[in-house]
Amino acid sequence: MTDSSRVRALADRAAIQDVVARYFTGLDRQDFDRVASCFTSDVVAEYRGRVLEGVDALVDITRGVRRYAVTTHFMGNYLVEVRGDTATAETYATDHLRIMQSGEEADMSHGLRYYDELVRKDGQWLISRRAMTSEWSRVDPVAPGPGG
Amino acid sequence: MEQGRPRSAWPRWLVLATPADIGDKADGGIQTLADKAAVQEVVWRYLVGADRRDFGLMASSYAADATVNFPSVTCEGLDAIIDHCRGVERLAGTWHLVGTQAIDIHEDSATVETYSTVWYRSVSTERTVDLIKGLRYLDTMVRKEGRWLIQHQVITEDWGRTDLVSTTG
Repeated sequence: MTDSSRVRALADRAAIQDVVARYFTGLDRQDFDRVASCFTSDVVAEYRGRVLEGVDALVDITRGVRRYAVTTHFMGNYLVEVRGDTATAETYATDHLRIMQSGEEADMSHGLRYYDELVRKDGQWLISRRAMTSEWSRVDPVAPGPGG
Repeated sequence: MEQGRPRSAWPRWLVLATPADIGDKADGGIQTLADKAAVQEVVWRYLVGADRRDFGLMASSYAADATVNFPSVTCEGLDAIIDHCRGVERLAGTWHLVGTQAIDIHEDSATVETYSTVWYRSVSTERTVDLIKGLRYLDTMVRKEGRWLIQHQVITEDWGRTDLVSTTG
């Protein structure tokens, strides 16, 4: 591998990670234009078995985060494989969703796994296909913070 | 962690490489960056391999004559290591989330310290329990025929707790 091809591979890897991170930060900020900017217009996604066709259908589903007081999607393990102008990525994220349960605050968390296929279009990496699965979930009561 | 117990450290036999300033390398550090990316993928394969119960994926991270010091037992050789790891099959699910990672590349060897918070779920008819642990993986890797592989791994358990779990919101 030449130096320039190594640089290209590293730059692609970093750019793809940025796309996935942009998605999660868009979700947690409820900035749905930012969320939409991560996908091709004809993206096909499967979220926990539900098939979503097109970026509008996918973004509509993500608007569900608005029912929570706060969401955090904590990105972890990731693997990126680049082949020319296409790539696959697998990413772990643990989410923390603040909910109300019987009048009390609680945190719902999930272990989420995202499988993405990406394409390079006009120099920009975009997700063209995605499958998201939830590996585990739990709900924990939230203790009152300092001062109640 | 017990009061006064020192935080588990690198074993004494390990000589830590002193990483050169990668900017000083003739190629501007490009090879070092590529090596760091490759080494991260090695860690990814053994942790995600465990969660997927894909022991072939997991085995692809280790040299055939690797040694692993698990918190409870030492295993020598790839077969013994993978046999021990198959213990995760007794659990309803596992999740090894990677966080902080420090990588030092020194030509054909590397030292890698990885933090992972792990969830081990057990389900019975009476209850669901999560055993949650803060683990650190201390890996010594070598480059063999162009591939990075773990030669020696020390796994330390810094903390752990058991939670009774509700799964309904």
